[in-house]
Amino acid sequence: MKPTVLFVDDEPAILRSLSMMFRPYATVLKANNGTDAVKMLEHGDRAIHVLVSDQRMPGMEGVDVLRHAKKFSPNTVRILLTGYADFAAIVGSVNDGEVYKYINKPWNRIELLVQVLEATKIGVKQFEDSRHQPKPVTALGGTDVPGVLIVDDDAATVSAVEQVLVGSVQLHVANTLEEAVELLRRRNIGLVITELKLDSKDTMVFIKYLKKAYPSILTLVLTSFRDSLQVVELINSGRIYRLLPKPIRFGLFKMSIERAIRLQTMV
Amino acid sequence: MKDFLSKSVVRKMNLMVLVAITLGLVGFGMGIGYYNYTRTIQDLTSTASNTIELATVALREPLWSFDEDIAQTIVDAMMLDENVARIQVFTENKEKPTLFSVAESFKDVDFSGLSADQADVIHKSSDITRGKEYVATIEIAITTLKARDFIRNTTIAIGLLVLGLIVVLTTILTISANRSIKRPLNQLEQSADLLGHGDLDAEIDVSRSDEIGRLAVSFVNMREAIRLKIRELEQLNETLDARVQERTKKLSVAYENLKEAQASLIQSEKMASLGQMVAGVAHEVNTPLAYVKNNVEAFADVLGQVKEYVHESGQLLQILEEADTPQRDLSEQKELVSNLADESLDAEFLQECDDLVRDSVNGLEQISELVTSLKDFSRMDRAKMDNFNLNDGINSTLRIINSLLKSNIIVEKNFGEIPPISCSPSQINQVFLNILTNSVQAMEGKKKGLIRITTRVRKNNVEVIIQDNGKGIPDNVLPKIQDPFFTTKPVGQGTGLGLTISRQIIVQQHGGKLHHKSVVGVGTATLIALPLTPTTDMPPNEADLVTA
Repeated sequence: MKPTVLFVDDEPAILRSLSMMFRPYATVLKANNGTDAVKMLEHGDRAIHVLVSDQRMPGMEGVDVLRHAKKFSPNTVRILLTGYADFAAIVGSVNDGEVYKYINKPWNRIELLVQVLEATKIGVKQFEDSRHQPKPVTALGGTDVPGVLIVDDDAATVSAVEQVLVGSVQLHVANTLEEAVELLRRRNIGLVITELKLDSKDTMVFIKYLKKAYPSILTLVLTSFRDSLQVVELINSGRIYRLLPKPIRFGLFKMSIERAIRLQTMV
Repeated sequence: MKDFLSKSVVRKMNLMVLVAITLGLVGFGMGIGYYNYTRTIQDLTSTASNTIELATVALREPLWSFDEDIAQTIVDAMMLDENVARIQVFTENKEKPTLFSVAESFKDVDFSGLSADQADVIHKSSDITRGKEYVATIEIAITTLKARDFIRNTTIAIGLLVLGLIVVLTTILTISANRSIKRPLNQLEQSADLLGHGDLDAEIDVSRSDEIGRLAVSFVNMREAIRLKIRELEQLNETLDARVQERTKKLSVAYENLKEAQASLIQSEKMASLGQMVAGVAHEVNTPLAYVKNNVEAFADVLGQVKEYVHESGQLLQILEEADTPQRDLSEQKELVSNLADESLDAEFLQECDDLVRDSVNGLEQISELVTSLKDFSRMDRAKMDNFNLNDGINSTLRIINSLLKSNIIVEKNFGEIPPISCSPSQINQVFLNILTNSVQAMEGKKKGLIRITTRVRKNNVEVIIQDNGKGIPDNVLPKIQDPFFTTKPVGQGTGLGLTISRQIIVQQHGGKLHHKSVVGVGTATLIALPLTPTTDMPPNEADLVTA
């Protein structure tokens, strides 16, 4: 059976073009605005494996469509396909929409095809998993509970994380990338918290490595930079779980870490 | 009198000396008078004694012999002395004190009011004796009046002399004071005056050794001191000139730097608005570009399928033409061709292709329209000054910022019949872009934004009114919004030059008006008024922006 893909764009020509492109591989659904898309996700009688949304639309914006999708159809893989998005929108797509990929308009036909089809595979698997195996609940603090690794030389961040965890899970601290790699090899890690810059070195390579070597580990990135391109790279290549601005806003930080731990202990 | 004295030291001095001399001389005169008087009185007293002694001797014999006539003659002779007022000679009976006069003589002297003990009359009496025999008594009265007259006359004479002396002395004093004090003082005064007027070479006489001489020396010293000071001042002046020149140089360098900085700021403001514009246009172009590109790539695939279909169809025709082809081959080829048509080139698909072609053409149309409006907006290929209809300018500006307006903002165009006016269209468009962008930014986060643009002719102006229902500008901020570098945006996001440049363009370069009204929470209205006939035919100059 063909997977189902929902495209959301306010430009009908885009929808027609994408629809023709994906017809051979998927059942294509189209929505002209965010509200219609959310209705289809919430009340639709069929599973939507992948959502591909534009960001800038009249009425509901793409990030909001993603957020609603996460809420009403958590197994749907979410992709943002947009010509322009400001920094706040991109960060929002990570933190609120847990976006899978961020793709620029105009797109590369082959790349788009590959990425959406890859996403459909993940979506189909997620729907199947959720149907067949209800998630086992592991008690917090169990022996096999994965720990948290913090890769940061900033004592303030470390103490903030300690405050959040209050000993519920094991905390590993790495001051250098070498230490981090070593810890990952030896310990059971579920969440990595890292700065984008460590000792003036870019940690992007490390984050990409993390995703390749340990796909199940969630990555929370802290940064004081405001670079849209970098965030897009973090999304597409690093598959990051959260991007939080520095200085840390404690409430948001706590919520993000707790949610990550809950996700990992239920896996 | 007071003035007379206060104006001259010499006069004061003269007066003081005069008073002193007068007092001295009067005292001297009085002393001499007094001395004369006492001397005269003494003389008179001794005269009286002598006379009486003489009379005693002379009268003894005549009286003894009772020769009264001779006695009278002697007495009369004695009376010749002007001071002798009266002589009485009488005999006194010792037993019978009867007095009878032997001889008597007196002058017409008024004795009334004069008592005997008064100094005016000196009385002397003496007994005339012969042997031990008493003869007569002689009494003599000498008047001092004559002497007093003489003394008075002498005193008057002395007084007159003193007066004369005073006059002479005063004259001498005045002349000598003039010569020794006033003239040198006047000379000094003149020198000081000249000095005061800057003549440092005026002659000063320092030959005198008195106070004036010393004063003159002091003056000379003072003049030297002044000369020194003047020289110092002149030197200072010279270095000051150099310093001022240096400062001026520094200032002009600073001014140049400032001008450059301003120019670069204006440039960066231009770049910022250009960047904003480009980002907006890029987004506008992006959407049609995305689907046109995708469609054309899709058509390439479709073309491949069509080629295959045409090829297989050709094969089929060829098979049909060849009579000896086995039936099996023919049916296989038939199935192949029909499968191709069914699988990919069905009617629905072809209809879809038609739609995509139409979409692509429309998309390209959109892109070319955008490019046209970009050209209209920038007018790079047009004359700098042109007859330009502001409505066209607003329309092309709106197309440029369309991507900003799209989602939540409605633009209501209330265009009036306005004639084209002579202006610099690209600059006017820059102003429209600036003000419309401000309006859009003021409506951030607003569900239903409205921008109303009205154009009309009022009096001698074409007016453009841009109203928004944005957040408005507080009263304390409104007067500052056209100031250079004033911005409410975060650091790095606004140069604070947008409205400054707009004002330059509208007011300075086009002789128009740019006004704002705003109410917080209600919105902002901007009025742009441009004269129907240009007030200046000077072409707008980039440099004006810098110097203003």
